[in-house]
Amino acid sequence: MLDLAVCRQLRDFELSVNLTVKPGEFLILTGDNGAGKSTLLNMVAGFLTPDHGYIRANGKTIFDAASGITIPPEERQIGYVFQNSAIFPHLTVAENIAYGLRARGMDKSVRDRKVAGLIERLKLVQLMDYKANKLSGGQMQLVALGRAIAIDPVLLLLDEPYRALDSTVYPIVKDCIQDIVQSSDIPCILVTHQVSDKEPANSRICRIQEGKVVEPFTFCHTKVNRSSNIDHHD
Amino acid sequence: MTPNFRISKSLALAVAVISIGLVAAYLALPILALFFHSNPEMFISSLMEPKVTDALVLSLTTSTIAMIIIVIVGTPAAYFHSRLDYPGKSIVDILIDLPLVLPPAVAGLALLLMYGRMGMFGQYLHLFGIDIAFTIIAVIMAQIFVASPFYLRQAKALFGQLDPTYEQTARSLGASPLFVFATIVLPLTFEGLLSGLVMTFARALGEFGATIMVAGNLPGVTQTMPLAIYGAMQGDFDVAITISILLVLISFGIMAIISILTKRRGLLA
Repeated sequence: MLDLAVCRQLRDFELSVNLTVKPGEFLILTGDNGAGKSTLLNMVAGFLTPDHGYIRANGKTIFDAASGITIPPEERQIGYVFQNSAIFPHLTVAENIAYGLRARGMDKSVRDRKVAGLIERLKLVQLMDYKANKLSGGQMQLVALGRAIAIDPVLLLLDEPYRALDSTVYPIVKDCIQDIVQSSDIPCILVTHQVSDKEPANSRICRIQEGKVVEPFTFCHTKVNRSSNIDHHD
Repeated sequence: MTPNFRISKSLALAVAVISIGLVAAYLALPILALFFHSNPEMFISSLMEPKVTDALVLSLTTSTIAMIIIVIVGTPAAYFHSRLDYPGKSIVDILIDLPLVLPPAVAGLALLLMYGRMGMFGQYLHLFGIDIAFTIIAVIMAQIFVASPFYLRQAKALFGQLDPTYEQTARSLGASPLFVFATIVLPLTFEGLLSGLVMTFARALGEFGATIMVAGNLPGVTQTMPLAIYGAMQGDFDVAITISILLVLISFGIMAIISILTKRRGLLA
């Protein structure tokens, strides 16, 4: 479960969002460029600090302005896939997927087994020793997804995962994302401009405009009232 | 009517050959003159002279130490400089570039006024019996002052160009900032940093003006290779030529290394 209420003054407007995403649920975040979608993801991941509010993921408070809690990004255990997939160009596919496990000091044999399983699941076996500059856009997205879920995240953040994909790869990546979120039963926020009318049943569409959620309903308050949300805490 | 700017192919070819030929000849001929004034026996025999070996050892040692200090202090400085916005950042940018355009003699005088026996800082060091001017430390300090921009400029440009989403992704995957630096930032900038470093070494090796002002020209103590050339001009011309040839060979080798590194970087991108 992701539960947040955050405010941050941006250059032209105040971003003020209050939302919850259940395990296994997609929150499809859409809206114009500069509406605050990526800013919101960066606050959840810990790369930006909200001015007010709180963020809780999987029952743990990862940010709370009132009590001064700010967990650094490396301790949040959030899978974050950036727009450009950010595949580390000097590492192979397998090394990319293993990166988070290596950073956590996981034993090599355990790590190798886990990475091999993911590579098989993502159908990347033939590419496992390739470097990023040999991959297509769709393959890069799959590697980025594999790398993000390797750390067993409590939450998945996907920033425009379909942007660079052509129509043949798009359904593959989309199915893969759907499969991951459902099987690992974690909440997922997906930023996209391509909302289709055939989104799966476990998804909810949310439109952001100038830092506020405008569809399907507005939760926005100019100032987040922490006490009114406290009962969401699980 | 539009003017006719078309020139014949043969004219273009002639201009190309003459201009490129002029550039190459102007740069190569004086260097060839050095080699024409030497011969293998003379080169070998003056290579054995203590004046030459002392200068060679001193130059290589001081330039290496200067390079190591520049890397240790300059790498984090360049990284944070490129990642942070802070008041006075543009002034720091100018300061980093300043030694490139500042006459080395000015740098030497400035260092002397700071660290010399009567200097702003040096007078207090002198009270404790520490003298920097006219020692090997002054040689290294002069080299750091004039050579640091070659590494710092390269490093801050490389760190600035590096897509921050690589580092953010690595952090989100559980890597500490230091782990990210060691496994993502350094490998992705390594070749560029190395070529900046090699340029820094070359500049330190060739340093003359600031060194003679703040460290003097004491054989075996502060007389680096360029200073030894200057010293030998008065008497032992062969020694001057031999050291010059050595420096030409080292510089040529350094430029070759950089050219290889740049090509490899081009292939990676």
